[in-house]
Amino acid sequence: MKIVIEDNELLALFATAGKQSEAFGLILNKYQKQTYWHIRRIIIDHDDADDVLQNTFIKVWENLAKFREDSKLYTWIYRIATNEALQFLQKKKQNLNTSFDDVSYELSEKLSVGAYFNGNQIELKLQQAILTLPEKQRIVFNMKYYDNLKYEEMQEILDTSVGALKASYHHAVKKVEEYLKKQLNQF
Amino acid sequence: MKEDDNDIDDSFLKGLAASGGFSVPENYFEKSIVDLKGITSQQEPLLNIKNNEGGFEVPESYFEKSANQILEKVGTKQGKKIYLNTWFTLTKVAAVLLAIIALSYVIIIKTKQEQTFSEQLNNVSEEEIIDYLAKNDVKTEWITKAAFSPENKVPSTVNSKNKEVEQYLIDNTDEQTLIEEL
Repeated sequence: MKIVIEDNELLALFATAGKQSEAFGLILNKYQKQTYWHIRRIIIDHDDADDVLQNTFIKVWENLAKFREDSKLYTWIYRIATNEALQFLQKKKQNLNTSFDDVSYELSEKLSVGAYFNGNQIELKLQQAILTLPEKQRIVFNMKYYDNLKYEEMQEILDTSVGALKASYHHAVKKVEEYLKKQLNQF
Repeated sequence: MKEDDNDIDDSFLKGLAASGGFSVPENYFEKSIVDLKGITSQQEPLLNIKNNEGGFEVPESYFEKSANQILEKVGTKQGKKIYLNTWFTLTKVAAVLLAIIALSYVIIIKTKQEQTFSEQLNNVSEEEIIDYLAKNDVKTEWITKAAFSPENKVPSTVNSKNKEVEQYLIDNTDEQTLIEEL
């Protein structure tokens, strides 16, 4: 049976002299996968997501001693991961000197090529539909749809009001719905 | 709005419907947000696809390898952080610090002592020195010898330009004159 250690216990362990590495290993074990999937849905490419994941957890390690428990541990990790992922996309845009649409197109192409993507046609279409959304809406959609996060939790991660997040999700769902209708009616 | 905000009496608004008179179709909120059913011809619920990772996959044993890489990187950073915490390093640092403190202490004390001796000598009058020499039976030869010995050359106030003057004084001053001066 898998034992789940509570966040406050992990933080207490991290605060104990000589136990930092052990505590960090447990935090990594607890949150690595869901953080990876969160990043992967934003970045799409596995290798890039891996880089961002590593940077995220190195930042977690470097700043964990300063974590004041004003928020939950996983929302704090998600916040770091989201910022790292968005910064990565920003750099990509700057390096390629392209717009958001171009980056979305490139990411969509990666999906079609199928590197580490084994979804069926509907899953592919859904991911492509999500990629048509503006960055913020995309993140909100993923957090609500895949991670089932509450708006209050998303508020902590994205520093956006609950009302704005609800509106964002609502628009995102509408756009995804329209995209899918168009695509699937072609068949 | 609160009553004390700008003293506006908005009590007449109380009791009005929060919707402001607007209405929505029946079951609108339930349908609009998450219900993506009925989009395909087979009425397939798209929300069912979220039980996996949205079609993405990772290489075999990726999470184990990735965790090890992260721990390795963090370990390197930790190594740098705890470098100063090792007992051996701390002992070395403490020894060096102690040596610096001891050396500084010796230098400061020595300088102070020298300053004190010099200051004390300056305060002694010429008569007192002559009395002391007379009482202690100091021979004039010793004084002369001491005055002209290489270690007791004229102090540093005499620079290289005054070398000629110094030599002149040595050559043209006899022992008797010097004793009288003392």
